[in-house]
Amino acid sequence: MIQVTVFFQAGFKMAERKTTPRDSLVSWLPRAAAIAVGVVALLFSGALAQASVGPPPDLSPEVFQIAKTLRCPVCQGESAAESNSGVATEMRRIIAEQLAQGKTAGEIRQFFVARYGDWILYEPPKRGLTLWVWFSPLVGLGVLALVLWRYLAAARSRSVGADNVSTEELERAEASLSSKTEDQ
Amino acid sequence: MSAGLLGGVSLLASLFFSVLGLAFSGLAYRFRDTRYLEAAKRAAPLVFAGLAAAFLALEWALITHDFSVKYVALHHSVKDPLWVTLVTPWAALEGSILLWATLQSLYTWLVSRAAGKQLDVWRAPIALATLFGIQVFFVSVMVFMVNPFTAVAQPPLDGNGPNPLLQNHWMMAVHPVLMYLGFVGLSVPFAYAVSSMVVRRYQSWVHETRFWTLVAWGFLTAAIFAGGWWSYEVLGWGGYWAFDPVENASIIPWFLATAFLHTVQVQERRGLFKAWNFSFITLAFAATVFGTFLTRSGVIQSVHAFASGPIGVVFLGFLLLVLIVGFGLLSKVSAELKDAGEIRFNSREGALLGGALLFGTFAFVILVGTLWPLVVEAASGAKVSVGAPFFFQVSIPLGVALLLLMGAGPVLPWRNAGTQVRRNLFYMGLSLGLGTGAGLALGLSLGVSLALGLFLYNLAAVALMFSQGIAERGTSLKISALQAFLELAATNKRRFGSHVVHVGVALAGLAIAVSQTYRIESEKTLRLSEVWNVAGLEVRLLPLTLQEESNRQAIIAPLKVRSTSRLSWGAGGSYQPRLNFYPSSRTPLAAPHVRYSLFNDYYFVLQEFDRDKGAWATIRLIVTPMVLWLWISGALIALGTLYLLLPNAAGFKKGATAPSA
Repeated sequence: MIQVTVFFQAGFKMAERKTTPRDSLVSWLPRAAAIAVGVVALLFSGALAQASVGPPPDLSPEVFQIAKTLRCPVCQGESAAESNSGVATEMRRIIAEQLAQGKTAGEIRQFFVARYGDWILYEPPKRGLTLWVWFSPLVGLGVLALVLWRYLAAARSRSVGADNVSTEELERAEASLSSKTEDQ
Repeated sequence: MSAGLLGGVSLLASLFFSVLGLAFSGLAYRFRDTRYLEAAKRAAPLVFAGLAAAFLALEWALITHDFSVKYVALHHSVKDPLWVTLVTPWAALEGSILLWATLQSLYTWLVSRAAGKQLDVWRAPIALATLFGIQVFFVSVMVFMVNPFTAVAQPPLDGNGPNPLLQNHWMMAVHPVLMYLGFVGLSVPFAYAVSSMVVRRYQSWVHETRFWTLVAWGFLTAAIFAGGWWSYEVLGWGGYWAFDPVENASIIPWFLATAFLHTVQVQERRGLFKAWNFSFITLAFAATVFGTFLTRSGVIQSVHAFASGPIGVVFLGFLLLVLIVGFGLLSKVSAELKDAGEIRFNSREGALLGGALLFGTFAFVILVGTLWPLVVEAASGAKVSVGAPFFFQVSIPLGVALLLLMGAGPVLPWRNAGTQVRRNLFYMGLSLGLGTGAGLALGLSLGVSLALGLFLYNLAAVALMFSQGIAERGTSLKISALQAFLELAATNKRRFGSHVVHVGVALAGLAIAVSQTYRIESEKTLRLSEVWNVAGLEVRLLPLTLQEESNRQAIIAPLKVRSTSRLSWGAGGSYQPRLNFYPSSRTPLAAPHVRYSLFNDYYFVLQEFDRDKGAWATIRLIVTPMVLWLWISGALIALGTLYLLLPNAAGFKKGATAPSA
C-alpha cells in the first residue's frame, strides 16, 4: 500500500518536473514520456500490490461522486469513477484516504489539479479561455435568435400586401386535388 | 476464386459503376436527355450488387478463416463464436467503411427507383449525381486507402479476434448497423436539397423527403438508445451516456436532423423558412461526416495526432466539399428565397421555430464543448477537459425549454393562437405547477420535481388534444369514444405518431433527470460469506467459480442477496457478476449483472478478486432509479416513428408510392 503510493507520487513528480507547456508544440513529448513512465511504474507496483498487500479499500458513494468529476489520465474519455485502469483505481484509493482524513471534495480536487493541471477536471474552470465554453449556450442562442429575428422581420415586411402562395405551391395543390379526384 | 480476390474485384466493379452513374447523371443534366437518366438509374443496382458482393466476400473470408486476408488476420480468430464472426466486418475501420458504403448504395438504389416518377426528370439527375458522388468517395477511400481485402504474404494460423469490448455483448450486432443506417440515410434529403437548389424548385422536396428524413432520424434515434443500453450493460460503470467525443459525434447530427424535421413543417404548411431548411439538412449531413472524421482520425483522443491518419485528411476534405456544395448553392439562389409571411410567436410555427432554435443551440454547444480543448491548446498550449459535468449542466436549461415548447407547440393552431387554446394552456400550466409542487413536497430535488412537472405538462397536452378530438368526432358522427379514438389514430397517422414520439421524449426527460440525480454507487471488498448491508440489501459472497468458454475464460462471483427494506423489494435473489478474460487482452472485462425493475435497477459488478486463494472479491453496487423507463421511452419513440412512416390513407398515396415501393 505504502509502496504503491510512493510509486504513484514518483510518477506524478516526474510528470510535474518535466511539464513545461506553453513553450513549444513538442513540449508534450517529455510530458507524455514522464506520464508513461509513471503509469508503467504504477501498473508494475499495482501488480506487486495485488500479490502482496491485499484487496482494494472500500469505497463510499462520496468517493464516486468526486471521482466522476476527474479524468482518468491514461484512458480515452473515461472518468476516474468508471475506469478500471491502475491509475484510476489508485485515484479512487487516494480520494477515499483523503475523505477519511476529513478533506472536502474541493480540497481533493485541488490535490489532483496541483499534480495534473486543470486538464484533470471534467468540468472546465470558469475563468480564462474555458470561461468561454460556459458562455457557448448564450452565444449560440443569441446568434441564432438574431439571425432568426432578422429573417422574420424581412419576411414580415415583404408579406404586406403580397400574394404569399408561390406558383409552385399552387401547382402542387392543384395536382393533389386532381389526383384525389382520380383516386375516387 | 478466393474471397479476397472476389471482394477486391467487386469493389473495383462498384467503383466503376459509381463513376459511370455519376457520369450518366451529369450527362442527363447537361443534355436534358432522359436516356442518360435511364442509364444512371441502371447503374444504381449494379453498385449495390458490387458492394453487397464485397460485403458477403468479407463475411465468407471470415467464416472460412481465410487468414490470407489482412482484415481477417487482424480481427478474427478461429475460436470466435459464429455470431461474433458475422459481426466482425464492422469491428474495425476497413470493414465499417464497407458496411457504410453498402448501405449508402442501398439508399441510392431505392432513390433511383423514384427518379422520373415522384422525383421529376429535372431534379433526378442532380439528386442521383449527388448520391453517386458520395458513393464514389466511399468506394475510392476503400480501394485506394483502407482496402478490406489487402492480402498478407504469410497468413498466420490464427488471429487475435475482434476487440474484446466488441464481443462482450450481442448489441454489437445491432447498434453500429442502426447508426450507419441513420447516418447514411441523411444523405437522401441532402441530395434532394442539392437538386432542388440547382433546378430552382424550392418547395416540393420538403414534402418528398419527409419519409426519408424520418427513416434516417428513426434509425439514428434507435441507434442512440441502443448504444446507451449497450454501454449500460457492458461497460460496468452503470451509466448510459457520458458525453464523450464519440457519443457527441452521434448526437450532433441527431439534433440538427430533429431541427430539420420540425422546420420543414413550417415550409410544408406555409412555404416559409426555405433557406433554413436547406441549411439544416446540409449541416445535419455534414455533421455525420464530421462525426466520422472526429472518431476515425484520432483528433480528439490524441490531440497531437491531428489529421495524421490518411482517413482523417480525406474525411476533412469531404466535409469541406459537402459544406461548400450545400452553402455555395444556397448563397447562389438566396436572392430567390426571399420568403414573405408573418410568423407570430404564439402559433404552431412560432413554437416549431423556437424548437429549431433550441435544437440548433444544443448542437452548437456540444460541438463547441467537444472541440474547445483543441482550441484552448492551440491558443495557449494549456490542456483542459470539457466533459460530462459541463454538458449535463448546460443541457438542463435547454432541455427544460425544449420540453416546454414540445407540450405547447402541438396545442397551438397554425398562424394565430385564438382564445380557445387558453383553456388548454391553463390546464397544462396547472399540471406543470402541481407536478413540480408535489415533487418538492415529497422532498425531491428541484430538478427532478421540475422534470416531473414537465412530464405531466406534456401528458396533459396530449390528453387534452385527444379528448377534444374524440369528443368532436364522437358527437358529430354519433360513434363511441373508443371508435372515435381508433378512427383518429388511423386517419391522422402523422399527428398520432408524433404524439407518441413526444410522450416518449417527455418520459425520457423524466427518466434521465431521476436516474442522474438519485444514482448511488458503492464498492466493498467482501470475504467469503461476509455480509454487506447496503442500500436496503444484505449481500453475501459465495465461493468464486471459474468458467471455460470457447473464446474466453470467466471468473464468476456468485452473490446471494436478500432485500431488507420495502424500497428494495424484488431485488433479492442471486447475482452472477463476472470478469471475462480474453486471450488478446491483458486486462479482464467486467460483465455486470443487472436486475431491472420499474423502480430501481440493481447493478452488481465484480471489480477484483483474490488471485491466490479466492478468499475475497471486490464488488461494486450501483443502484439507479427509473433506468428501465428510459428504455421504455426509447421503444415508444421508435414505435411512434414507425407509425409515422406507415403509408397514410388514400389521397396522399400517389406521392408516397415511390419510397414505399
